[in-house]
Parts: sequence; structure tokens; C-alpha cells
Amino acid sequence: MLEEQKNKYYNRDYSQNINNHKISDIKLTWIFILYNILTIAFVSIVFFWFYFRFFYFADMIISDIVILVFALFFGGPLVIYGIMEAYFSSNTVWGLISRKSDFFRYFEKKIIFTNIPRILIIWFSHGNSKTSLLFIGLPIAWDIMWILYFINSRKIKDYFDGNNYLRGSIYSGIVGIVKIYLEE
Amino acid sequence: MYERKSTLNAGHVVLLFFMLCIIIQVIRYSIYENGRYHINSKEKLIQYVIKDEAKLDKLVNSLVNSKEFFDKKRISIDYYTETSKYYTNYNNELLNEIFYNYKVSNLYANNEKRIYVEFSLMKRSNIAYGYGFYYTEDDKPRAWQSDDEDRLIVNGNGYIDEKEKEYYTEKIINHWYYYQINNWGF
Repeated sequence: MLEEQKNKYYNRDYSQNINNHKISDIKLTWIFILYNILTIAFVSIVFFWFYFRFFYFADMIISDIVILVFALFFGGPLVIYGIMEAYFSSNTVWGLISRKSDFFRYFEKKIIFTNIPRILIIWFSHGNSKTSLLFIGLPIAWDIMWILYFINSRKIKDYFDGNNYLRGSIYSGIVGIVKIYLEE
Repeated sequence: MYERKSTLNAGHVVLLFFMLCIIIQVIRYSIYENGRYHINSKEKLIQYVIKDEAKLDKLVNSLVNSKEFFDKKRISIDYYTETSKYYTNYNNELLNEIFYNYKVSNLYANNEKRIYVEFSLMKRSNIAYGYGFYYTEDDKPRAWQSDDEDRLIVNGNGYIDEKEKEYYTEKIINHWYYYQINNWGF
């Protein structure tokens, strides 16, 4: 019985599966790629807004220590947030398009590392209010929704030749532990 | 938990591009900043005003003879890029030169009792909290934000304000005065 199951498993033609699935087949993935591209575009717009006013800000900052401290206090988390968004979003998009299974890991890291400065920025600007909780909670919920979609998507598993992309993932680890716990 | 990969990836390329842009701007800004007057003391500023007397007189003439000044009796020109008062919007080469060389933060011209043009410079904590120079039509010093000359008390080479003791003003050349204010607002 076990031998039969093993044969069934190893005889599955994964390469056939990969050939049958292209990224264009996975419709929701295009929305996900678009979401990441829009994130990069947003970061780029903020960056170039700053870039074209660089002389003005530099004049302000170097002329007064108080302005420098304020700039670091409010601008610091924003800069870290921008760097994280640009880095992880680019790698997520590139990983998906070039069939690199680590796209999922980059996306996980993006959620963790962009939300820490994002929470700081929102607390600095909105304080501890209902609006701030909404601004913090909604993007996290939106990202976790994508994670659940990828974990459960059959087509994307085939696209990445099995489920390699889940290996070492924090969320798949959590899901695995929960599954084992429920089965027991 | 994860395999560490040190190869160049898409994220690195994007960040390197941003970094390169910032490095280019820093180099450009260093060159730009180096071309300005290096005002690090009151004496230096006075020297530059004496040197630029002709240019400053010409600028004041062009401002007080402008239509805007004639209509409104006052002009305020800023260093702030986002406002309509931004100095480059005036397309005046002399104005641009003075704003650039002296690092002017605000230019304010007024004609209520007499023509008065003030050049506030950007903060440099080693000189004073606020400082700059101004032009008066009748060659008389000005009290802090007031034309009331009776408030001025002689102090050394210049004057202090009876009401605002932190204010000090001193004659540079005919019509031109230096001013400074310490700890204004505290």
C-alpha cells in the first residue's frame, strides 16, 4: 500500500505541470504584482519629490540643529520604510516573474520590516487613536490575505515546481504547526 | 532559518539606483554650498554688505519701484519653494544672486512711514538666533519690528531696543544696518 502511494507520488510529472502553468494563468497573481509595482511607484514618487527639493531641505537641515533633530525624528522611520518597501517589493516581483521560489520569503520580510516603521510613523502623526489602528490594521490584513492565498493556491504550487516556495517560510511554519495540532 | 544569498538581486539594484541619485545630489549640493559667501560672524557679514553695496542698492531700487510694491505697499519674498512668494518666481537675477550668496530666508519690504527693506538670513546659531541686515530710506536705525525710534538706546557701536532687550542693531554704511536678535520667542 505504502509502495503504491510512493510510486504514485514519484511518477507525477512535475515538469509537465510546470509547462502547463504560466504566471499568466494565475490571474490573482497579476493583481499581486500590480500591488507591488504600485508600492514601488509610490516610494519612487516620494523619493523624487524629495530628490528635486534636496537643496532646499539640505539648506534647512544644515542651518539649524533643531530642524536636524526634527528631520531625523520624523524622517528616519519614513526613510527606513521606503528602503524596506522598495527592496522587498522589487524582489517579490522579480521572484514571481523569474520563478524564484524565495519571492514568498521576501514578501514575509516585507510585511515584518515595513510595518515596524509604518507603525512608528502613524503613531507619530496620528497618536493612539481609532484612525491610527485602522491605518495600521488594514495594510497588515491586506498582506496576510495574500499570504493565505499563496499558501492555499494549487496553481502557484505547480508554477513553482511543488511547494518549494513554502520551505523556510514563517507563515507556512505556523500553518504547519496548527495543522499538526489539529490532526492530533 | 533562511539561506543567506549575497548575490545582487532586483532589490539591490533599486536601492543602488536611489543611493546613486542621493550621492549625485550631495556632490552637487557641496559644490553649490561652496560657491556661497561663508558668513560665520557678524564682521564677515558687514564686510560682504560693504562689498555688495552697489548691488544691494540696485536691488532695493528695483523692488521699491515695482508695481507690486506700489499697489500693496509691502512685499514679502521667501525661500520656501511651495509658496507663490518663492524668490525664483520673480525672475530677477540680482534677487537670485543675493538670496544665494547670503542664504536669505526672507526678504520683507514695507512702506508705511518710510521705505524699509529687511533681509533675514538663515539661522546660524554661532552668530545669533535671528540676524540679517536692512535698508532704511532715511538712514535711521529701526527698533524691533517697529518704526518707533524713541525705543532705541545707544549701546557700544549700535543700539538696543528698550522693549526687546535681546535686539541689537548697528550701522554698516549709509542706509544699511546690521541687526540681530537673541533667543527670540523664549
